[in-house]
Amino acid sequence: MACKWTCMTALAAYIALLAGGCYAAKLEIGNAAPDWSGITGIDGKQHGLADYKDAKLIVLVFTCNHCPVAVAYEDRLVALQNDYKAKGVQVIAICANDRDGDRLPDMKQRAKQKGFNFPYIYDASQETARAYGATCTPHVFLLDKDRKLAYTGAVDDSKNPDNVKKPYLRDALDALLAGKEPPQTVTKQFGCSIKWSKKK
Amino acid sequence: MNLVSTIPACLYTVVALAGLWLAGCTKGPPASPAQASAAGVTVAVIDEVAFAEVLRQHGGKVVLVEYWATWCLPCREFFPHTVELHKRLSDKGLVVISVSLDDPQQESSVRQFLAATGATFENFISAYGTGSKSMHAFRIEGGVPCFQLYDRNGKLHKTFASGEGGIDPVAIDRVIAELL
Repeated sequence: MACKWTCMTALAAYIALLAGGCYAAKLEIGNAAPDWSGITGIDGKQHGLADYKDAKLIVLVFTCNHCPVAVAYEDRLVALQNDYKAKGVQVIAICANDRDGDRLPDMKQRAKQKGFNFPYIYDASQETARAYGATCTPHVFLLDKDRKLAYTGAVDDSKNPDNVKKPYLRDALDALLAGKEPPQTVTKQFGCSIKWSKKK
Repeated sequence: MNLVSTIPACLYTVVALAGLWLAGCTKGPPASPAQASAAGVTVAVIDEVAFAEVLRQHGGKVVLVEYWATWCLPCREFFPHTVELHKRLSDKGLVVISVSLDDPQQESSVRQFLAATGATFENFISAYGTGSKSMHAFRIEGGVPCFQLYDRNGKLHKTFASGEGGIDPVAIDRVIAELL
């Protein structure tokens, strides 16, 4: 009798472990984007998704300071925001790394250095990163006017800007702005893994 | 210690080191795949078709593939464990292979790291470099580091993907032991 209980408990624990060990539930194309608020930006203010309700499209990019891949995309994101601002696209850069060098003071410095023309906010609790299923930097989540996920993955197909053949994010933006579906809604993001807090 | 006389020595050292570094950075002719560097390390650029053939050639052995990149710190930190697996288990039927997602132009940096960590197994660089195509072509999940473990029949047995908990080397060791 005791043996049976031990087995059941072990099995339940194993299943729970498996479930807990998986990533957060993955956000699918067409799903409502998780809301978020109270996230401090480099401007010292609290930011929430609702603050950007006037934007036609939102490009939420998980990024950070230290990752060479994320760094390689900084100029591209600035250029993209420049090119699409008048069309109602709002880029929001969000850092979720629990890592020295990737915190607000460092973020502030980088934003100034690179001329970020979009908010750069710090997901200290990493809840937003978890809710969206962000895995690495950079990782893009493009939200349509109804704040449903319309495109996710990489900004384009190559870390080296000279080798880019597929500007995935721009293509997705152009399609959505023209009232069409993006040619590709999901691409493989690549970069450095998000630095998750160690469980205490 | 006389500070004035140590300054030139420091300067010479810095200049010499800078020169060595610069020399390492200039593009030389691409190394032919069969050439080994002084440390016995080989690196070759590869696409997924040629890679499938490499895997086929190792049929009958258990194959562990580590996907990594010089720009990926956790990948670099994981490497000594991968090298240790090769040393400990290659005569028991484990084949270890590394595939870097660096741009092929970064071959000398890749080679430098591999030589420094003693990676005397097969090493490759994705022909597609740091980009989505590499992720697709090699079926890499969750970013790098990523490990793929193939059984003795050449079938993909398990993928160890980077996620919230990181990759557990103990888990890798355990599954390899089960397959060997």
